[in-house]
Amino acid sequence: MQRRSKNTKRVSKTIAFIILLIVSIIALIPIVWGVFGSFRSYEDFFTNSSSFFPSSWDKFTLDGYKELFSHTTYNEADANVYYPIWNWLLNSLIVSIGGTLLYLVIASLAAYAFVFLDFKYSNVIFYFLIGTMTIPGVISTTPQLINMNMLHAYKNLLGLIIPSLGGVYGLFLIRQFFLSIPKDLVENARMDGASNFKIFLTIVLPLGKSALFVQGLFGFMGAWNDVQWAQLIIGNAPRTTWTLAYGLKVIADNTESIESITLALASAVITMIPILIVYLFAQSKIIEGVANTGIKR
Amino acid sequence: MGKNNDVYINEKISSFICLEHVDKIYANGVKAVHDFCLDVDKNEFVALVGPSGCGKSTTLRMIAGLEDISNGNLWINKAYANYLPSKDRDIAMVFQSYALYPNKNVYDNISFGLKIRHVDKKEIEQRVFETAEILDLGHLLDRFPRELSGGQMQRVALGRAIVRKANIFLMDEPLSNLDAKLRVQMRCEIVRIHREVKATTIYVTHDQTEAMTMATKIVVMNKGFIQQIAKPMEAYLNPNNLFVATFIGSPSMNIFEAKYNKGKITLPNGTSFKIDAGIHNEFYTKRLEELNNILDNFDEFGLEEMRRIESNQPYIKGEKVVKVEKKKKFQWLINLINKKKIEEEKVRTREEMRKKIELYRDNALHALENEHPLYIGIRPEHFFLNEDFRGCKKSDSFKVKVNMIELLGSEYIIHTNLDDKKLQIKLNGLVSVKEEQDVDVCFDESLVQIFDIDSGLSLRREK
Amino acid sequence: MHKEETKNISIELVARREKTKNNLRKTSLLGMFLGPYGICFLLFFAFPLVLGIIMSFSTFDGKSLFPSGFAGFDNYIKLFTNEVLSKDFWSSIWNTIRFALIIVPLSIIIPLGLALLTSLKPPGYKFFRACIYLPGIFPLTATGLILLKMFAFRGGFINSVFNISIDWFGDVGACWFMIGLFCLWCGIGGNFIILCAGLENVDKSLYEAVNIDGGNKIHRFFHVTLPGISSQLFLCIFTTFTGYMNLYGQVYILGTGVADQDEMMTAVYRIQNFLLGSSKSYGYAAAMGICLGVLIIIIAIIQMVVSKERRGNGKHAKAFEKYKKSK
Repeated sequence: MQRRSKNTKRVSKTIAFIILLIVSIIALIPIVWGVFGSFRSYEDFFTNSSSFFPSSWDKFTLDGYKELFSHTTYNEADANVYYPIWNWLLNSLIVSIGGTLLYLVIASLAAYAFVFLDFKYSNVIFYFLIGTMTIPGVISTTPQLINMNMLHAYKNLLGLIIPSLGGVYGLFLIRQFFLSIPKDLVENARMDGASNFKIFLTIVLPLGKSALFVQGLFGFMGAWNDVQWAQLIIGNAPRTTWTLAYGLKVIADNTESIESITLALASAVITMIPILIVYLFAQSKIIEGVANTGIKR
Repeated sequence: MGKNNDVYINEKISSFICLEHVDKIYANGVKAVHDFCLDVDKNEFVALVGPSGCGKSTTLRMIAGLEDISNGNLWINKAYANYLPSKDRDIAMVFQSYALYPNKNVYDNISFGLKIRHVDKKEIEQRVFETAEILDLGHLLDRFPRELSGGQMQRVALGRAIVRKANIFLMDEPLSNLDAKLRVQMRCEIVRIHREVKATTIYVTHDQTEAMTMATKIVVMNKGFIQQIAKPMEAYLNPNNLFVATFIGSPSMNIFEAKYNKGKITLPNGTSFKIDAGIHNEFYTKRLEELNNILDNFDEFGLEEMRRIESNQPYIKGEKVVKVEKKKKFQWLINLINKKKIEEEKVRTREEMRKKIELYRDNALHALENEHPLYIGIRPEHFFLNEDFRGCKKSDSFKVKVNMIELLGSEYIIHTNLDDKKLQIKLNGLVSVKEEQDVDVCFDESLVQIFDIDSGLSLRREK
Repeated sequence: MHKEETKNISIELVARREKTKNNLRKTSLLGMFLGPYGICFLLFFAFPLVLGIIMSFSTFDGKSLFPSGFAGFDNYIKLFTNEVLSKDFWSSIWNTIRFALIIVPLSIIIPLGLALLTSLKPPGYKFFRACIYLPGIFPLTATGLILLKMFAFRGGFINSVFNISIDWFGDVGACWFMIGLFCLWCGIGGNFIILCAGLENVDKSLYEAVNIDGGNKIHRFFHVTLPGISSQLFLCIFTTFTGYMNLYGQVYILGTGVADQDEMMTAVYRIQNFLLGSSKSYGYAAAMGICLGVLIIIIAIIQMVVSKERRGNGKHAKAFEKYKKSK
């Protein structure tokens, strides 16, 4: 190798560093601006709209948040700006965590069946399931509404949770991971006399922890962020049944004037905080999970 | 030295490939190759052989240009090649994993190197077909690597190297991914191709059988040091040290601790034989000289010498040397904080080393005057049943009890004990020996190897 | 007594009995493990699908509990012939396709470039990776809301800082530009991570082989890197395209300020509006959904066929035979 190539390596690393730095900053700017903005008063915005931060430290206020939370009680006159944030938060948590946990349970059971229980057509059925992944969701949006209505899951949280339980992506992910668990362990346990359920609980689940964790993360994120389906199911329901993500859209619509800019930003920040916390803790696992979707084992 | 088209030519170099005192030191300080010196003439088949982590692949990659050379000089065809890019070194390489382009068919794989160099299409076709004929790949030319078996992929990798008509072939353990039978077949193929194509080949392997059967010259390496450079037979008959002695030959040489007293060597079970005291004294005098020299210049040579001595020791099968330590997070910070401790540690190590070398020196001194222990090495095939002796110089016979017999068809390997040390004897398959039987055995004294215990060096080695 | 009884029971009977017991055991086991998921899948996936197809042939309008009123192909005919309705639908599909054609290449090339830079492993690359993926984890409504305020026409950050006066969310062209920006900002992260992983997985010795064969950086890229990540690339193109054909959220959040809503419609947006609107002709909406779905499936199949690995056509082997004979 040439002496020159050592230097070109260093140069290209530096260029990469600079470009990545710029891109990262651009990616972060709106979020940072939004967070800082939620702590400014609207006069500040009006007069100093070109500044990034509050113009001086004493202009730092919680007005936006105060105003936001002042909308959490219902009164007839202001029905349009009724934002029961706490209900929304609770609903989002219930749907995201509850739905995800439920799905993890049934999907891991099913994945166990596909991998460790030999039954006829197991491959056929599985490939059929994969085939359904290609069907665009749009086809079943309308009928799903009817379905939910028939099951008395229309206009309530149940309608947000249960449609996702039929999903195939998570099952696929978990099954792929289970495949990498050495069959010898399971067969050994069987010979020792353990029942399938016991093997599932004590061997397969602990070993498959990371796949379950990743799927849990994705499921949580998907449910937390969903707006499209929420709009259909609970859009016409009373505001207290809304989720955070959907409620935010209504806030956005109502805050087009600049006076309510801090209100809007505060509400956005509130919605972003829980998932940001999750990301900060599990970021490397999330990225690993995304990366592995492209790699065939 | 002359300068020729941006390349320095040194007319004084006589060999085709020459490595002078080449070192490889990694960024974290680990030295993978120490003071590597080798001359390769045209059309030679040189095998670099040694256990995992001995530095053979690293050396090959330095010759190929895939690794930087930390110290020393590399001359290829009299030209200074340290900083020459790989494509200008006139080399072709066969990788252990074959490294075939998975999205190209066999024809495109083989012709890729020529295409890059803008060789004429007709010419490319001609050369690829010639190569395909040599390797019997004609019917596979349209297949993709994923449709090929291991042996076929191997041949395509060879074809890619041959078609370039390069003067130097570098092969990095090309047969280690094949099954045993295929390996034997491909060994012959490679040697045949080497003769037909008349390229200079440098071949890396950890299998000493491969090295012995294929090479015209072998370079035995361990822990980054060259142990011996010799023709295969030479390394077999006259190993330089314990490592080479136990590494070459299967089953490995039997090593025992014996006592030496004025020319007489006594084995643990009492059997004795005589050797020329002159060789012994010559060896130890020279060794004394060397050790004194090291002690005088300890700061310069000491540690390096200790590492070299370490590398002379016998090869234990399966022993893996940790090549490069993983960089721990904040290692630099830890080093900074513990700077004083590390310094003290270094000083202590040096003192220990120094004491060790002084001990060796005292041992050498002692050896010249008194009775002292030595290692004796006798190959299993150099033992015979007392009545069947077929060698040069018959030793006194002694009785051993047969513990276990390994049947190899044409040969037996008898596992037994000498005193309480393991002894393996290889006998002709025509004799009949039973387990638990007591047999009378003897060995050929002229083929016995004698080693110094401290350094592992052979007393009989060439200077 | 016992002896005679056992003599009368034949071995076949015993075998059969044991077999049924075993089968029963196996089935109940399957039921326990596969059951929960199976029920959910059938109820919440398969059933709506079938229902949707049935619905598209009906005049269901939400009043009765179950789709009724067989209408044959009426809905589909309406889709293609009814002046007002079909124009709405097909123009929204056209909007969707136009947008996808622009944004999908960007959504692949930009992450690829970033992934290549990251593969050089400059210091802090892990941090940058997390930053690039970050915008995508938040709800679209939150990030969209921030963008709405940041690019607000009056008093927005961007308009003030650069001293310009563009109605980012009122003007159709500017709004689509913002939607594109929004999509890229939130969407690159995923493809970026996948391509990074793909680059990591390319066999390093292939690069060395190219080195020895005499190739330069361009050769390395086109002959080793690109083929090496081809499966990841295909995955990205496939999922990104399908995703943008289903584009809804970003448009819904950013686009309601535009006067001419028709210009802002994507196909799914149309369907959503239909479902929430007053006309309540669910049958028609279902038909629209199925149309869109079929379109996406066709495009997907085209993609798969195009990307199928080509078989060798044997021409080299034939040429070799000729060569051998000529010797």
